[in-house]
Amino acid sequence: MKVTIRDLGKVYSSRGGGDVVALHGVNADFVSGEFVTLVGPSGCGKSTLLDIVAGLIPETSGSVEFGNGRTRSTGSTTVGLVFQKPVLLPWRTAVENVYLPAQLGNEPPGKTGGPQLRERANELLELVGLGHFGEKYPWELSGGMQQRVSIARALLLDAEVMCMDEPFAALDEFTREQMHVELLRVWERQGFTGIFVTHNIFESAFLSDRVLVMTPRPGRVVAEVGIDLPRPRHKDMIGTAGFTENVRRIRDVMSEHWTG
Amino acid sequence: MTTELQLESLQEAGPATGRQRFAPIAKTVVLQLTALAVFLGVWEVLTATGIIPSYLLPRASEVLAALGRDVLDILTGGPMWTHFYTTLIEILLGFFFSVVIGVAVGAILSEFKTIQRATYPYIVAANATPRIAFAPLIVIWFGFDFASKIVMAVAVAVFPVIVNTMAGLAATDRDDLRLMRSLGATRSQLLWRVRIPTALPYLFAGFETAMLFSAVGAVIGEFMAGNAGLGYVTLLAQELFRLDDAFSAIVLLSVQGFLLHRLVVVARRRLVFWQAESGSPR
Repeated sequence: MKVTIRDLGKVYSSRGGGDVVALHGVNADFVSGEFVTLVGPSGCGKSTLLDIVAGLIPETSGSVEFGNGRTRSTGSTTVGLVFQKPVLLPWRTAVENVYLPAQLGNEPPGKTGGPQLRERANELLELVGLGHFGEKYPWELSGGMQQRVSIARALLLDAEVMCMDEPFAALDEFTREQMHVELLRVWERQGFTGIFVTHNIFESAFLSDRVLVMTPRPGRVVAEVGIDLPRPRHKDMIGTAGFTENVRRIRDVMSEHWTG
Repeated sequence: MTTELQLESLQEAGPATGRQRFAPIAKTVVLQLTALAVFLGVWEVLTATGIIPSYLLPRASEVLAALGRDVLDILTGGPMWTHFYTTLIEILLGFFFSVVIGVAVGAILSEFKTIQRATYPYIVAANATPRIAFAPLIVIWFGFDFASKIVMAVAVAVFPVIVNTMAGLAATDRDDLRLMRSLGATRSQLLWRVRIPTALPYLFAGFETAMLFSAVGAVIGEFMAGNAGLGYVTLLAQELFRLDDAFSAIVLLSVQGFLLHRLVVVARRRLVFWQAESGSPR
């Protein structure tokens, strides 16, 4: 599903009276099924932008429009959300965490978590490589596995747009690289529109079709860098001349627009 | 609580294989029994030699003999059984009503902020008041029998439940809230699926305290009036200068309190199974 962002602005008014402009005049188009990364330094509003697209917070001005004509994501039927932390409920097993979204909302489709729901959740766990871990509790899983569970959860209601807010930032280097490959595999199978926030330039180059570079004060999209690496992407692409060249281009654009 | 946690972590520190695990526990038990024997021995020597006169402290052997008689009496359904049973029921009912009232009041206060703002200072003040001061009034209001003991127990035990219920319902993680909001959860879904499970560890901490406090309240109630219960037995023994019987009744109260508290701990471990493992208070 395509997503169109027009002239989006977000202002946080603080009690002291000084308003903070988190986003100003952001324009962006996401083509159906592409994978786009929002990259930028801390405070550039990339997470705010993601929260608005996911319907967690309202915009101050401008609009977000989805391909189905809706302007606001309600529930996770349109937009799936993956946080930096896995945010799994410790009293639920992995599979129970995955089917949680179906038990929420005004008319929850799977209030009690019937056998079909469980089966669907298990399929998704299979998809993210956790086929045998459905009955484990979150604390029995490693950080990477927990994040896989949260990805499976975001996939449950067949969201056509997947918003990911630095989902691998807390993982170690090796696990993160592994997760990149896995995420792309899932994305290629499911065909959702991926919007991925990170401050890691390597990560943005490896994952994306396009990289939107953001800068702070006020937060805005200043440039777009197309990534010309073939798909499917492999781990051994990292370090090749082509990969390095893409990373350098993102870097150049960043330093052109922003001096920290 | 802290001591108990330390003890558990000490015991669980060793490897989980049967023999190796067993050895340090057996050692600990031997150590603890030795400490008890030394304590009783010193007590016996001090009282038998008259260093501590017998009208102040009975001999340890006399207390043990009295305890033996009482336990036998309890097991055979004698008068001590009635006393033991009476106090047990008082504590359990006091605990039960403390839980029901405490959770209800705590939940109402945390859900309706206006009520909370209007009443919270008075609740804090009531909590700061020594509830024992109400004991004579409670006897006037609720009589000499069962009811006044249970009211006394509730008066002492209800506050930790109220306070912990409020703390628990306020403890929901910010990220959990974000997740639930992003999934379009309704207010009641948030309550049942996240806030109540999050509150459970807090609730059980309140229940543990409530069980111990309920025992305190029940015994105070028995001191004030009535003719049954282990507290009453202690008081009667004191009046008759049967200090060995008084000690025996106190030991029985102690065992009773320990076992009842244990019951709550076991229930917590079953129901809040994720608490120890996830390493966080949620």
